[in-house]
Amino acid sequence: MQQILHIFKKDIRRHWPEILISLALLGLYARILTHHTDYDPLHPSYFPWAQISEGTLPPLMIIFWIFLTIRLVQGETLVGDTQWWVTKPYEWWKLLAAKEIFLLAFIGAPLFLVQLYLLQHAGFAIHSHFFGVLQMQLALAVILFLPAVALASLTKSLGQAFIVLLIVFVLISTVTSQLSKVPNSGMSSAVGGLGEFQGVLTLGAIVGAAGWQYARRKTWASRGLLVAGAMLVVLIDALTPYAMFVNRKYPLLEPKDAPAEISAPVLPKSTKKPPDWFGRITGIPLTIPINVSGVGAGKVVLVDGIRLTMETPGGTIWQPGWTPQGMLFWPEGRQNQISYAIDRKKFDPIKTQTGTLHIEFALTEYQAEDARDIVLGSGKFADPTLGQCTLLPWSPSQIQCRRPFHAPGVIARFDPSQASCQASADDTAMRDDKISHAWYPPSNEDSSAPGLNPVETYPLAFGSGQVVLTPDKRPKRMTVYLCPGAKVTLAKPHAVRSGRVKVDLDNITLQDLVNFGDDAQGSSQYSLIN
Amino acid sequence: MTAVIRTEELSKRYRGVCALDRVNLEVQEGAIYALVGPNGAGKTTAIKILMNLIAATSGHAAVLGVDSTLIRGKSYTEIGYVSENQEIPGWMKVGALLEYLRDFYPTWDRDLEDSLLKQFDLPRDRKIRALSRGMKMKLALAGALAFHPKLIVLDEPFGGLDPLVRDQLIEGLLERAAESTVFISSHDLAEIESFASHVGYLEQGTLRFSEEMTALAARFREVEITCEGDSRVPSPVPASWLQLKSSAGVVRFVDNQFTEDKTSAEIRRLFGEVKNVEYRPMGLRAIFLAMARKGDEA
Repeated sequence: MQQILHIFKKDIRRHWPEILISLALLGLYARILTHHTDYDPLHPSYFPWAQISEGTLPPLMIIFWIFLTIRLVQGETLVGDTQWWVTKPYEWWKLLAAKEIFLLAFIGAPLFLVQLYLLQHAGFAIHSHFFGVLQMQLALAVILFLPAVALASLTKSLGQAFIVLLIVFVLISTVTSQLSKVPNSGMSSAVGGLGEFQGVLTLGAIVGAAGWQYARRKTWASRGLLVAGAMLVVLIDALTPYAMFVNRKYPLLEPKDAPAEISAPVLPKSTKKPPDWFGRITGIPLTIPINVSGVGAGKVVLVDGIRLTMETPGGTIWQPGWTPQGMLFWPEGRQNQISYAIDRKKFDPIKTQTGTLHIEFALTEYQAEDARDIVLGSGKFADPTLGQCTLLPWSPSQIQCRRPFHAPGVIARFDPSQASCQASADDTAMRDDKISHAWYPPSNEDSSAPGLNPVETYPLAFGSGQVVLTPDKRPKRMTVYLCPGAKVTLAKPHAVRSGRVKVDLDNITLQDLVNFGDDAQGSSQYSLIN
Repeated sequence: MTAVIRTEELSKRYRGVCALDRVNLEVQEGAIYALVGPNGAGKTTAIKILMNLIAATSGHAAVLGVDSTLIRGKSYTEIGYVSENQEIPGWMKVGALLEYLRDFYPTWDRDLEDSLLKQFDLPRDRKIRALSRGMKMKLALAGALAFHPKLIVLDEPFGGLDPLVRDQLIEGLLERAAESTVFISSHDLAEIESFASHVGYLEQGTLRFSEEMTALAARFREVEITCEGDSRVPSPVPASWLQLKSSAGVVRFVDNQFTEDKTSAEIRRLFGEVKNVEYRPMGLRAIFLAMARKGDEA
């Protein structure tokens, strides 16, 4: 312990300017966040730098902490054989422990205190969220500080470390982009435990490489271990038979057993002339209208993914695989549409071929449990599930809430006929009088994700926000109006079952499905090629 | 006597290039052992393997009875290592560095630290990055001596230093050498000769010889034969005769296996009666050059 403290004290003597900068950044961050917490939309106050700092400060702090970690670790550089300290009686684990204690003392502990303060300032009890904040710290250590320590221990200088960091970012974005092209890979959530396994593998490689380097200073072997771990994670991603897992998680259901009845209307043959912009886009937007009904009362059905297959008498001509979705089917049933983009290179050769489009839906049915009504308060109001909420005057369709760590799993239902909320005089909005919903998927109440701010601000947004054309061809946004005194029903979503249903669209060409943007969807949502 | 350093068939290859070739070496307790050889001979490689800074390709080495691959952490409480290539933390002050080192060594001698600083003219409050190269070497040596190490390992400590600093370093080293074994690599032969008790000669990774200085000095002689008339050299000559040259009735060579009786008998056998024979003792530098030239000729 004496040697650990001895190294620790030496590092304080060396890094005191950086410690002060880190604490100053943290203090500024806390000040800005508490200003935002205090912020009263109806009585705005001015805080200098508030506009720029909330977004820029966290990345700045993280970059500075990476810089400090690298400098700290490279105070006793592990790469090479000319370092002065390697022939001194350092014990490797004590050296590593001294570095960890430094990070804990001057980054972890101050951040922990700031996080507790932010919770307390936002009106949440510290003692009931203590372990959640500890979990945030642990997650930050795993995601930020362990990789930074590994990077610093495997590079010789700060410059080399930042060059490697840059290369790693380029590699990650390239590999991620390539992996996204692996068929069905968007449905990795169907593979139970895959993410966790890859996370453990990555963490093992990082900890193993840094630990090995500290214990034996085998730089190339440690680097090799890290690269091998990363390659294994990529290989697992690339070689996982996602379709098999999707089929297993979502067994094929007969229409009568399905959680929702989905049908596709017969579409007229497209006779529209493509607009000018259509020739310049690479992603062809397809829109497939569907009718949904039969969702049980007190239930919601989430479309986790869809798979399209175009089959002609000559065989299958197009099957892009499963793609994730997020569409929700509510008991009230509304007309929905599937939006899909197909690459022009694939679209052009097959666009006029007539056949059957098979649409497979991977569905999860949720049951609303513990339903209860709340009456919306004026100004700020508190709710045990939602946290602390406000009705924003300028955004009548949503309730903005704050809660420790993350949004709760919730199904919210609002019936405008049961409230007497007035529509605002907005010429671009049209009142939505139908029952509307807001929702967040179930989550572990006690868990927290990595991050700096333990107070999560989230919107509970009602209605689709769909733009419709009035009879006089003016676009208007469908808007739900909430107001103090209105009743909203809250319930907890509980996943009941998952399954797969198939819908066929006969005698169709892909060209018939192209969205030229002459309806309410508008062409502006698609990017144009210059 | 116990061997403080022992190597057996120690080899190191760098991408096919042989830096050390089956080196067998033994350094006895209390010796001041100088490992000499031209640049690139493998001296630093050998020391780095002994200090477990790099791994040997094959063979075995032991330092203070411990396998060199296990030399780490606490092992260094008994070894003082100084190298010309060491990167001492420049942000620290001289006094702070020694104060920092103090707690690592249970045998650190505060009085010795003070006396070394005084002897080496090292200012405690000077930043290390502001020190000259010679001052840095003195600081490194002070840090390596102040804890009474059993073994002092010095890798080219005199390279590029002015004579005054060299003398200070040697003086400081010799004053403490009685309690330690010293293993020093250098090509500064004149300095080594003045204090080394043993010497090993490394050339192209091969240890050509390793012996006591007195024995080495005894077996190397520069021989000059003045012949009657023609000084043509008969062939073959003994393998121990190096740098054989002949001109104007005078034959000169270096005998690396000299004994007066044996060498005289060989001369008589090859040259018959000669006018005069002189045997001149050789300094380490001359021996080193003779060996190096022999290597070049080979």
